[in-house]
Amino acid sequence: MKTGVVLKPQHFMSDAYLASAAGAVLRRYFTKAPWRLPVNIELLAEHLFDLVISWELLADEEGALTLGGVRPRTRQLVLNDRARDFFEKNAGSENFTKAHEVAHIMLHVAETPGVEPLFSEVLGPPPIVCTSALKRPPREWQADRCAAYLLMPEDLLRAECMRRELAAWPPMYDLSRFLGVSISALCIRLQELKLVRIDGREITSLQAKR
Amino acid sequence: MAPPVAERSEFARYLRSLRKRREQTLRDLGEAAGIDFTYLSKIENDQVPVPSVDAIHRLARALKASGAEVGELIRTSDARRVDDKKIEVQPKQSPEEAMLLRRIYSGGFTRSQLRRMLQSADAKER
Repeated sequence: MKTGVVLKPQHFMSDAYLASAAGAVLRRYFTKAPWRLPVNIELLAEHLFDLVISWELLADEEGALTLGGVRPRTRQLVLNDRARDFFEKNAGSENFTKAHEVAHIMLHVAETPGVEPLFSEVLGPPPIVCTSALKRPPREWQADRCAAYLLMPEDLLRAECMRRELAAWPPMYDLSRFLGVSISALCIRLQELKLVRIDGREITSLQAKR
Repeated sequence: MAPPVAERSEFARYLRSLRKRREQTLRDLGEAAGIDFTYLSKIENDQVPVPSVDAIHRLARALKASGAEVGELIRTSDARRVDDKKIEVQPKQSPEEAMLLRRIYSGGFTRSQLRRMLQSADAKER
């Protein structure tokens, strides 16, 4: 039987749930890729979810630059040609956007058994469009959190930090480039895991050395 | 908007499948072939005309494609060129019409689907 795709109704998702959803996807990914960082999110998107990456010209949404989106019906992960400058100026933002869109597919799109409509491009679910706007609706926040868990899984990140001296900014920037995430996303994640403490411009490594 | 996966040309699907089999990203292949990765994505999504024979050979080299795979790339790209020519015959065509025609030419519909489409078009006319 053919399946259709629908957007799930908006639900509360705890942080623990988002972490475990990302963990489950990474376990599948690491059966195909070596168990180490960085996570190649484009390969993950293409191989695990059969998403087709498509660079296109996308219009702004409510005055904010559209970074990308997903078209569930056509399984396309769309990135905005006009956001290339933004991606180049903000290191890690392209990778994070891809992970964010993968998270939408994981969390917010469901396949339903049923007859696929003939003109399903018209009748299928609407695309999810993601912008650079700071105000984030719950779905966007969930996708952001899940993206961080996909790109910076706890075990591997802890192991990576053991190999690095993260007591200054240059090695922090090195690590953010290595992981393909922004420096701010890395700082948030490392502080959550209590691997560093950041106080203004001061950075202290809290990682116990073996 | 790009056509859905199943409606992409055989050439676009074959190129993508070769790249995926080599576990290359669009950037990896684009850099190796000297083609911008965003343009490569448009090729794989049938959003631009089929690339030149020279570009196809560069892609094949970058993919380290076998003789049979190069042959298949050329064959499917030629087929897509023929489809594009057939589709170009129609003046003032919308992307949706081109997409639909491409799918019809590639045998992408069953007879019953075509019949239902015709019925639906007839119903609209009435």
